[in-house]
Amino acid sequence: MFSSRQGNIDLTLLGLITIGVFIGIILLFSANHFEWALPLKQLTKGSLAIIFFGALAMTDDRTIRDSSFPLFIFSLILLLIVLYYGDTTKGAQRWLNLGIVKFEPSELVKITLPLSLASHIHKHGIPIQGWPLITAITMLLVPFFLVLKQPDLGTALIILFIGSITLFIAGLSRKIILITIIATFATIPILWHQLHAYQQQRIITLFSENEDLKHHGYHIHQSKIAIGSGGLWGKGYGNGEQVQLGYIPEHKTDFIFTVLSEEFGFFGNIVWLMVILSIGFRSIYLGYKQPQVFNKLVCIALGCGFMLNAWINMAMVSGIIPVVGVPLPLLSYGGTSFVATLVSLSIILKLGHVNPKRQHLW
Amino acid sequence: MQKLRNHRKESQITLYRLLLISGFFALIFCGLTYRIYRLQITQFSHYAKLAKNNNKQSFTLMPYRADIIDRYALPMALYRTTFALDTQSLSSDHLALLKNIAIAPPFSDKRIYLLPSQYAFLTSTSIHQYLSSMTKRHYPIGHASAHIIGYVGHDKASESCELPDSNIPFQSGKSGIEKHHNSYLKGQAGSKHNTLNAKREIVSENIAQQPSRAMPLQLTIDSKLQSYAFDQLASLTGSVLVIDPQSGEVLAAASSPSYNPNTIDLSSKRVSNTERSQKPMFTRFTQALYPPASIVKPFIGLCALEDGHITSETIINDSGSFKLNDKSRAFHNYNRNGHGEVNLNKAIQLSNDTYFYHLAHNIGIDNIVSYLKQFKFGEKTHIDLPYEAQGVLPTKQYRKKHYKKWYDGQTIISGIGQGDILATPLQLARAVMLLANNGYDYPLHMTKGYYLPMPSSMQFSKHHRDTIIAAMEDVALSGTARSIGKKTYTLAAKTGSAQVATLENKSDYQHLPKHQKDHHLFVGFAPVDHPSIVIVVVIEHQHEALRVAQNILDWCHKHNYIL
Repeated sequence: MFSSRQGNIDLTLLGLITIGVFIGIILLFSANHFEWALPLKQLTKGSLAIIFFGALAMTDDRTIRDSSFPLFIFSLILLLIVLYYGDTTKGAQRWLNLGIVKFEPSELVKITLPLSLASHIHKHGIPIQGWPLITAITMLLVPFFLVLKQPDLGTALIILFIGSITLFIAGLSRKIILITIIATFATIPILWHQLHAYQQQRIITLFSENEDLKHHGYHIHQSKIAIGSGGLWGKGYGNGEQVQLGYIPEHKTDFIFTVLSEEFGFFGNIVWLMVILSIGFRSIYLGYKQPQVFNKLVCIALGCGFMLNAWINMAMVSGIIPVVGVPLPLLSYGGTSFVATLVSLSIILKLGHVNPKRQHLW
Repeated sequence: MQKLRNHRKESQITLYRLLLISGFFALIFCGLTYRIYRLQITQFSHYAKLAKNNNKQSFTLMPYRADIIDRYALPMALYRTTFALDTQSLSSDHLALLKNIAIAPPFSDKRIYLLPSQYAFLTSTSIHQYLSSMTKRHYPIGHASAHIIGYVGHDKASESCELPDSNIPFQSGKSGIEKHHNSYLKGQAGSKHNTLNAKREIVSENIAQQPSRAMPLQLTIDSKLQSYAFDQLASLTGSVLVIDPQSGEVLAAASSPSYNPNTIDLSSKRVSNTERSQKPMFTRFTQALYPPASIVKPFIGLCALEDGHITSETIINDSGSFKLNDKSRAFHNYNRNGHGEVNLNKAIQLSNDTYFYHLAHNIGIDNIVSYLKQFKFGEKTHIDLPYEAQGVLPTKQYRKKHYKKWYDGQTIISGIGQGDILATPLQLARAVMLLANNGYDYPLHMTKGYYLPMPSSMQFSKHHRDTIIAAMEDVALSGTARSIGKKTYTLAAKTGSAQVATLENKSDYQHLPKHQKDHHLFVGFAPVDHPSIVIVVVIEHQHEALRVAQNILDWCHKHNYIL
């Protein structure tokens, strides 16, 4: 079955993903002080995604489209459960402990939301307007507020952004876009007060870094030192003193970009950014080529989501935006994020047909 | 119900919006790249420095301070382990124990020093908790060399300095040779760089450069002569200088009273007021200024001969005093009966004041100053010790600055080295060296091998010089220093008494309080033909200079300094 459809898999994207995973394992090995334990654990979890991809390959597009909404509802239920029964780390309830596995349902929503939105729009046609639009906006706002309540502002904004992109591509009218933008700016002062104290502090830190280096600004200050001291060519694999001597907290997870920057320098960063952009734009290109609205929207939304996740993480680590708990796709250690990234990329591989004309329309 | 779909229109909408989205991502990624470019390329050196400051800690490694040795390589300053006992909280049982090793209260200090054998005995007793041993700078002859060697103390720059033994603090010289030659003695610094992790633990140590200790500093001092000279000054206030006129080397330089440089860091606060009034820290041979008194007579006499103001046959009739005119006060000779007819030889031999009153009156203050200047009075010797005093000569500028009018009387007492003229014992030693060397000037120094001779600055006719030296020989044979007695070597000498209080009636002197009595000075060199020793003795308020000089000369003779 798999082999007969092999021709429909975009080998360029598959190759890029493999390079990304490879870079991730290399960096994790260095970040873990040259011990294999963590990279192997990461790879083991990654194999889950391969099994998922195998299963996906045997499913046809229509089945995926039809199961989108139930999956979305399922992920919303998980989000609700997490709000009441989740494990708390660092003041936020994000984790669902299933005994053997711990995972973040918000990562799941990042995938099921664009899927179900795409399927919804597919059903009602482009441009989206009227009641279907209202339904779509509701579908978008429910997970947004649930994640915001955890509280996980970063992921909530990513969810909002991915959903908005889906609606935007689906031909949301300019009037609504304009009104939304104006309304957003108008409510910024109100939103500010809605933020938790630590979230406010992170934003303040961003603009007045020198005031409080020892506490709130410490992470970013140290990670900027790590990035800056990498220079053009980096200090060499395993020689990143900032990282290896423990000056970067969370250097295996959210701040793994500092390992890349310090040890491989500006050159390594450019290579990595090329990989990210290639995966993202290749996904958009694949989506653009799809005649099916569902396939098109899912490829584009997931591709954009991938780039956005990566950008937010790197922007945070290099001090452009405040610290939000968003991992770097493919590089950060952590089961849920790694598997979710691979799952969303396999969905793009599955739905982004290389030669869509060979596909018959339903 | 499925609506009719216009697929072409649908993909048109999507394409336009896709381009917008792609443009948006291109833009934010360009921004990110620019940010990373700024951090890694533009501000690289800034962050590289911050990273280095983060995890690197540098130390200056110092070697042990160099030893100081005397001209025969005997130690004068070195590191030694000392043993101390804290006496503050000893019980009566403990005191009973201490009696066994001949230690009993009252203790001079909170902490007393023990001999190694005493320490060994006490370690096995219940007293051991009050014992401590430490390595510290030690000065074997203690008080005797305190004013030469000086002492060391805490260095403010020591925080980042490490010595090989962490129990020894890094110190620098505070006075004497320890201060003057501090940069040599402290040795060549090394450096160590530690790499620290985020918990400030040392991950690795890297010694970039090993410190290197300086070779021992050899002095020109003979520590045995130094100790002997200091012992001669016991219970006296004053100083002794013995120098080698053939090289300018200082063989001994003693100053009394003195202090113990081995305990100065511990007991500086406990110097009693009576001790303090005697200024034990005061280095008398470089810092104390005395009227040179009669010591100036040979120098003025020699220059007056050279200038032709007098000849060796010029005779003055001394009736015991000198008067400018009928109304003026009398300037007395020390012998108020007078010496009768006095020529230059007799004037020097008996230290006749009247002769020199006349001479001073005849030649004037400017000549006196210029003669003394030739012997470098009023000029520092630049010996390698800190805080040397300059001395005073009543030059034109000096007189203008300090007096509205300079009286003839002031000129006249200047002729016998009183009044405004002041000199350090070291300056007297140099002047005598210049006379002994026929004007050949070796800079005075205490450290071996640093100085080259300077060219001769003056020349005297042999005849005139012989006249003066013959007179000085007569001083030791039959003159004011005849009590030195019979010698197997030749000696040229001159004595002096520097007046502290002026008296109209000589018999009052016995009733003066001690601190107003005269200072007694002695200078000399031996042997006369080929001088190998110049000696200067200054004793404040006591008539002991001759005895001290005699003992030291005998010692020098016995130890082959005078052949």
